[in-house]
Amino acid sequence: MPDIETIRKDFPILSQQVYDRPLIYLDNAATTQMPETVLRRLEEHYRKDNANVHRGIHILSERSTESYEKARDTVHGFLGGGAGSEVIFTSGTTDSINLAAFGLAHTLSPGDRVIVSVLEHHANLLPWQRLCAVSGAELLVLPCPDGEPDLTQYEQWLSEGRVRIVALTQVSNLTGTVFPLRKMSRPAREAGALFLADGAQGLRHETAPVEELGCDFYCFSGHKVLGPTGIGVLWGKKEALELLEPLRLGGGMVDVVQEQSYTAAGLPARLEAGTPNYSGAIALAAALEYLTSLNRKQVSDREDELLRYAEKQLSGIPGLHILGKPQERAGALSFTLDDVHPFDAASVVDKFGIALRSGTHCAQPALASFGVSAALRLSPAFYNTFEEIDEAVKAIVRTKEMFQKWTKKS
Amino acid sequence: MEIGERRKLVARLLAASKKEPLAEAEVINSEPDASFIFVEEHLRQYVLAKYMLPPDCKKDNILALARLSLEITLQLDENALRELDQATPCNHAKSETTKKVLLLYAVQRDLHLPENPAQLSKVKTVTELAQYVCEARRGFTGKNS
Amino acid sequence: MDEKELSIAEYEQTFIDDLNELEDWFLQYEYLLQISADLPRIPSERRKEENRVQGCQSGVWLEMAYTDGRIRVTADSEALIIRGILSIAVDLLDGRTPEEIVSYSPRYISETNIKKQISTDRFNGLSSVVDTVKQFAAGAIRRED
Repeated sequence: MPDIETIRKDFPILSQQVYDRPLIYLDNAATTQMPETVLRRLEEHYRKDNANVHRGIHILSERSTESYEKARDTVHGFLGGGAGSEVIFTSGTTDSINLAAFGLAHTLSPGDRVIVSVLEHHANLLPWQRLCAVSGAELLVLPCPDGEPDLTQYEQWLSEGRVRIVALTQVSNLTGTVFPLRKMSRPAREAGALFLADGAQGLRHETAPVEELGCDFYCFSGHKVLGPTGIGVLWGKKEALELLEPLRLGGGMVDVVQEQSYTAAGLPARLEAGTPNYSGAIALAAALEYLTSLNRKQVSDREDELLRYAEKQLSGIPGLHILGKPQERAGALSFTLDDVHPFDAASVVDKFGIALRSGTHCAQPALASFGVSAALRLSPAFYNTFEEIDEAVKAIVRTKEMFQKWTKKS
Repeated sequence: MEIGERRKLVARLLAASKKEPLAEAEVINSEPDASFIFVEEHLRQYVLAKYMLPPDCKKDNILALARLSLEITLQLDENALRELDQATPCNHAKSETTKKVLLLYAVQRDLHLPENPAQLSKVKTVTELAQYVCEARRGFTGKNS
Repeated sequence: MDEKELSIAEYEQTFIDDLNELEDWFLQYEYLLQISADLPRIPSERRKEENRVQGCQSGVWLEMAYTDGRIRVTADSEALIIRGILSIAVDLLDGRTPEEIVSYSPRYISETNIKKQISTDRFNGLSSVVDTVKQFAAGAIRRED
């Protein structure tokens, strides 16, 4: 992996100033930035190759289609390759999970059970809530005391039988908890359940092939892995994907269509109705290639180092409480400040040029499990520096001091 | 809070947020062999403090800075102005040229510089002022007085 | 100067002037925090769904009444900066006649840095506070007729 200065040059957005201060972007769990090569690939596509895929015979369409399918191969390879799985392009993690949940509805009966965790992002919670409501299945929400999944309860539920689906996050977007997917997927599959992992936050962290983690389905978003928004992936074992009833019907996913009926095409087309976001897919592939060129293990290690450093610095601040003490943390950490509302804190910290996120982070049950309704989140990526974390910590301290005198008065 | 109280609050906030000009002068005085960059940095803060301008103000032309300063102080309540620290008498000047002259005088006095009105009157920007200060501290060697 | 002799718009102008004079974000926060110190808290017993303003991430509550021909308003929030912004609205609207309120168009958010401070959805939330009071005032007028 090149040195940090060289890497940062790849990301033009990082060199800007906000409020006359250098931008310190520490909200990577919300979205990561796009490197120059990806921006150029997008531009090149639109300048030279842009034409709708799969439908034309003319050369532009051929080029687009080729790039799109090549992108599919790149993503597939990035996730570990192998003949037993497919990559479906979607519009993001939320879309992928909805696709899976809707698709599996016909496989559930009343009395069946679905397991999720309390730390899930709403995208990996709501689709299962509805699935259970509609099919009569029971939704079991795994407690994660102090941010660590309760494995005893998990195994207990599995042993009671009738668990058909387990949907868990690979890395929590709130506490950064790394779920032990290998450990949790084995008993799930032995119990006959399908195992879906929400990889939105986890993809930069884990370098092993997805199949090794024991997943039947794996979902992620392009914009969290240096790609553009509007594109995501549902990776699945072929037999698992074959189970899915298509959520969207229309062009591109059919074989023969008559007035009153249709026959569906095979995978992956069957689950990709409508014009795909082919430019997004092409840019996503470029992003994954960039990440690979940097040495994924070193990227992951560096991000872990930055997060550990942030945690250490923040732990030293009195009145600041980091949510959860997971065995392993990656990607993000969230915290509250005594007597300072997260909105106030984020507003002031923002004026120091530091981009943190405040609010519910689309994880209200997770926050509730810690007894709070909002928190501040700090999430570094490999292109951040230790100095930036120092600046963020300084800003947080100054902010706390600024509000301290106010809470004494009121 | 009543309008009058709010005006005083605004004046107080503006004054309290600015760095003490004399503190900046002391920093310069304590480093007799300081580089141009060092002098320029602290002299700029001195000028901005004197003029009650924010520390990240980037303007270089002294008359322009004086004009900005006037805009601020003329809006302030007279009574509020009197309550401010008397170490910044420039607030009461009514024209930008007067403010500039007073500033140059203050620089000369606070940095204990030998008098050189002919050279000093040529200074138009903070950068030039910093150059002047450096040369003055070296005794104007090689320059016409 | 008796504030209540000023029209809402004139009184609002004093806040706009204060904020624009302060320029610097941190001074503006200090200002907002200071002026909101007098805004009474709405205790948790009175914080209900009915008086909660939709669309505000940090919990905003609004209480209104119509007595003796005047609209009474108070508001509160969990976030101090929002409280500061609300205290301006309350200062402007509390004790005014329904006619004055109905014809008032707020400018203190759109014409100061506050607009940039709060993201679009929070801006809409705060605008809806004023809208809610205006609707309430309109209802009071209708009942009189």
